[in-house]
Amino acid sequence: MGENRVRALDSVSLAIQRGEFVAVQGSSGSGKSTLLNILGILDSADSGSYTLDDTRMDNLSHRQAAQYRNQFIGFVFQTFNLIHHKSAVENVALPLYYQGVTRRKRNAIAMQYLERVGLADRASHKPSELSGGQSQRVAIARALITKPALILADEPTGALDSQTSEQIMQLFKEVNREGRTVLMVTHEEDIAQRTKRVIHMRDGMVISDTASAEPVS
Amino acid sequence: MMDRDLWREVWQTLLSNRLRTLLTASGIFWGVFILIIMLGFGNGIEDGVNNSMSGYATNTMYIWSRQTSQPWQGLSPGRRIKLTNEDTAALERQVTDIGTLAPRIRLASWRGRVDVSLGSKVTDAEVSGDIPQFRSILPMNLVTGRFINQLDLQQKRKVVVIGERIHRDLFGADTNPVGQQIEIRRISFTVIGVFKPRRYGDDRERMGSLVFTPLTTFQQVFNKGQSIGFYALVPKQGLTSREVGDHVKVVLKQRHRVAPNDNRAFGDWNTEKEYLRIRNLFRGIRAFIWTVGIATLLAGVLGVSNIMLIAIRERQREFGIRKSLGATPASVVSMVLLETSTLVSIAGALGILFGLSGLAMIDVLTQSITSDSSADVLFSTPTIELNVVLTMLLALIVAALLATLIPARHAMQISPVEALRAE
Repeated sequence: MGENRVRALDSVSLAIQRGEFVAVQGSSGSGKSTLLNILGILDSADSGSYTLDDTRMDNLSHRQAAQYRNQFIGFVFQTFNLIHHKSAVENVALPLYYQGVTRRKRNAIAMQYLERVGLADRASHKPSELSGGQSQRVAIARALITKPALILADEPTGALDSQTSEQIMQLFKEVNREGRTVLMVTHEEDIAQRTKRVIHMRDGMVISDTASAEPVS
Repeated sequence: MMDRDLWREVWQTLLSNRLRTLLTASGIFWGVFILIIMLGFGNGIEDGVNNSMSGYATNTMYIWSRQTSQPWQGLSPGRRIKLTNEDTAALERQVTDIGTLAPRIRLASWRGRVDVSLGSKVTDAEVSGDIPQFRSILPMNLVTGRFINQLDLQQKRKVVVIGERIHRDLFGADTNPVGQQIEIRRISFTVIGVFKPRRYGDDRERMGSLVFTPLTTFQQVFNKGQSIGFYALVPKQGLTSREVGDHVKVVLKQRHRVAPNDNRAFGDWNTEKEYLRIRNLFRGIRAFIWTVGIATLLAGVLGVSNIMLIAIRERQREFGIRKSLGATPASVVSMVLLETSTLVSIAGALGILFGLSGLAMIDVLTQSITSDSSADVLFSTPTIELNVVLTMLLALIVAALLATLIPARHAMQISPVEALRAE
């Protein structure tokens, strides 16, 4: 730790209710990913606190953090981040592996989620055999399988064309409609406008926090 | 947790990166294989040299009598000392640190030769009177027959053991001389054995013309009375021949009334220098083998560590994914460690298997030359100690685990969001 420590996040105070659909916008270095890290229990803040589902997330052990991540949070990434040597269904089932669910059972559950995202026929395909949109749908199925309260998405449409982006956003909306909280980091204005609440960040601070213009149907 | 599931994960990862798995495995395989072959070869050479050089590797001292150089107890200097059987008996009684004591006597002087004949054929030989124990002082291979025994000594049998050159000159190399008579100074002796000296070069040539007769027979037939020419002795294990030789001389000086400080009354010569040189040769061979062996192992360990390091870096993304899905850092690290140890164990076991098979094959291929005990081959059956092999495998596993553990722990500290954004 040197003299020129950078405050990645500064005086951020956010309250997100259950069932919200939030977009976080900001240029690179604005503190988006740090925020995502903290919300995802992948990192802890030097000061301040984070309460998720009425549970304080400070000073967790590795084991507890992993357990909460597994139970409460589903991640979706820009580059999909499927494990390349596992088939689609195995990728979707992986979070249940860390819950100790038997192979047969978790693969059966994973099939239901693949069906939900319309990819049951691609279950045995490896990620390299899937298109970008298909990969992201597999990743969303994987994020949903533990029935998490919170979906964290990091530029989920960043690597997709506009038509596929549209399908993915549709999927997120459905997920949100079921009552799951969705928070996505994006730099695409039109994508952000399709959520219910947009948070702008700059230099580690929240500079605006507004309800989205677009009506949610 | 679920062990079968964990194994399935491990197996899946290993199979999914076939090239990487193969490279790592072949690195370990080669390391173990080469090391076993090399250590086996080294042991073979050492044993071979040991066998061939054993003729030199004795720790022998020779002591003979000369003339006194100082007056003592009223006796004037210049008196010639004569050793006898009584001296032998006294030495055996009084000097307890002698391992083997061999009184000897020769026809003619030091290295002087006399004629031995078979019919009209004549050749020259160094003829000596000896006791059976001398055989352990001058290692030799008996080609046929036997060496002098205790019965020969007791019954003063007129028998001889002849060197390979005498055999060749008198009988021809293809004739079995055992049971035949040869003449030394017109006295007939029955040949009971032929030997080949375990030495090389000139030494071998000279020793091939030695002729041994029983000491008692020699003393009688050549009119030597109770005389002994000189002593050859080997000290008990752990003692130097120099120390024991000094004890022997003290006793002999007392018995022959020689001044304690008269250094010229008895002469001596020992093989300690040669002995040390051979021992150093062995040490050199050992050191060489171990240096190369450890270097090979180290190269293997470094290679494996390298591949592991790269593999972990490559998989940083996968670890990030697993972590974000709820894996604890410990579970990811232990999974990777399990992968590594599985891989190293299998590859190491294969290396051991192939290495041992290789040694067995070398043994079969060299059998024809190594099985001939009289051949001058500096190689013997290649062997390797089991505990060396297992220690080696353990070292490889530990090194590979360390090479996995350290970067894996480091990788787990990187935030998945960072790791997953990269590229």
